[in-house]
Amino acid sequence: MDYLKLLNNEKINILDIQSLLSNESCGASAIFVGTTRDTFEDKKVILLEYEAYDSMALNEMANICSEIRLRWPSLKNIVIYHRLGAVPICEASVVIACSAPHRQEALDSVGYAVNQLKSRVPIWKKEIYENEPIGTWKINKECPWPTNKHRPASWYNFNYCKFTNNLKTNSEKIVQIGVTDSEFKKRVESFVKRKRVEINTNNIMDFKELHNNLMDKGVSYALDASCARAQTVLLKQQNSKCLLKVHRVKNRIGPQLQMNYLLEMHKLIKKQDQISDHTKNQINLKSRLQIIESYMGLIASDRDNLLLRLKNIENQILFYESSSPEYKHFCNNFLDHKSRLIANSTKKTCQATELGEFIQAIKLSLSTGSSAATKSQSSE
Amino acid sequence: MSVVRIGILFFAKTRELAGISRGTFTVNSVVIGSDLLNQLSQFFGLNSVRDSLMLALNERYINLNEELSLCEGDEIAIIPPISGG
Repeated sequence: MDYLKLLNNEKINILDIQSLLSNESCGASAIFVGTTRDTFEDKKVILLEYEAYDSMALNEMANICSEIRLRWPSLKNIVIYHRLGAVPICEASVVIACSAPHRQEALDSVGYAVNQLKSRVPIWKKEIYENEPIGTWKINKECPWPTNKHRPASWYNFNYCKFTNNLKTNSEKIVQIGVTDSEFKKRVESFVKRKRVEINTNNIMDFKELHNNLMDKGVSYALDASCARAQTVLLKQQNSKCLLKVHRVKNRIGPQLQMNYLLEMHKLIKKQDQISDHTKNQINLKSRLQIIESYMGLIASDRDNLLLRLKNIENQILFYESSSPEYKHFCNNFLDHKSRLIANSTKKTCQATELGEFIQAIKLSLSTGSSAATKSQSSE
Repeated sequence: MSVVRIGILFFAKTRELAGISRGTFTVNSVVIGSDLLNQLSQFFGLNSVRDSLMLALNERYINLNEELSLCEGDEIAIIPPISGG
């Protein structure tokens, strides 16, 4: 059941509400009681008065009930009572209560209903302060209108935006404007509008060549200051108020359209490549290669063709090998001296001096007799 | 476009400013909500609080930016910011 009531000059009895809520299936009843405070911003409140658009208020309360029943279907009984007329300090002005099988639904739905009531049920509260005969109509912060800009200054909580003292140090950059919000907004808007027009005009100035009309009048216009590549002369059409005729378009050529652009770019990129990490190594290798070539008596025909130069060196080595096979063995064994000792190679190798001695011995034996010759043959 | 006579209800601050709690007003049957509010504020002397007002047509809040189709005898309530609870 929904129990909705606006009470005129009649106290709200919490016990009555509790009995309205009770239901055998319910394990929880949540009751919110709103009471009247005695102070507002250090002013002493002596009386509160409530006023309502009765029929609409009851309608809205019923809407809230159906909404919370939709959100929390397990709700059993809902009570919304609101007092009207004069309400003395510290008395209940509103009671919102729900009963449900479990406490969570009861508590949640009551909280939701309080917020809804404060934001849409047409009821007004007037606070009458001590020493102030004319009362003040209050505004709930939940009330969705008026929008922020029209809210009275007292509505704002200035604690949220504290002003700091560094404002004073920059005082020459800060202007204080004492105008209403709407006037201030209007000024900001017109400033934005003027800036937009200024930018647009500058863009058109860029686009147009002022040469023809302004130069004649002694106004110098720096073409280089403009970043526009296309410049046009616009002429007003005869018998037309808005159409402009493009008289001439002059395209200034950008670097990417210049004749040898690709070639120049290629060169630049190539140069960039040479300043790489390899460069030093390459120079080093080239000089070493040159030393080898001069040692081997080769003359490079094309210094930049490294492959050809290497090939020439290889050919030379092959030539040496074919003309003198010992050269290869000597090189191998020289490099692989240790392994040769371990392998205890059976192949006899002769050095040039040994060969010289051997040839000398043969010559000697040929001249002295055959006995020496047979001795030397056995050693071969 | 036809003209209709509607009832006007005043509450709280607007009731005090207008000096009445109920009045009548003649207006075009098709009107934008904010235009109607402007006319009512002008006529009943509510210009000082006009920007803080809301309207309800036959006990329902309206969107001030939308067009209303009013009938003879409709009830418009001028709703100042609410403070129930």
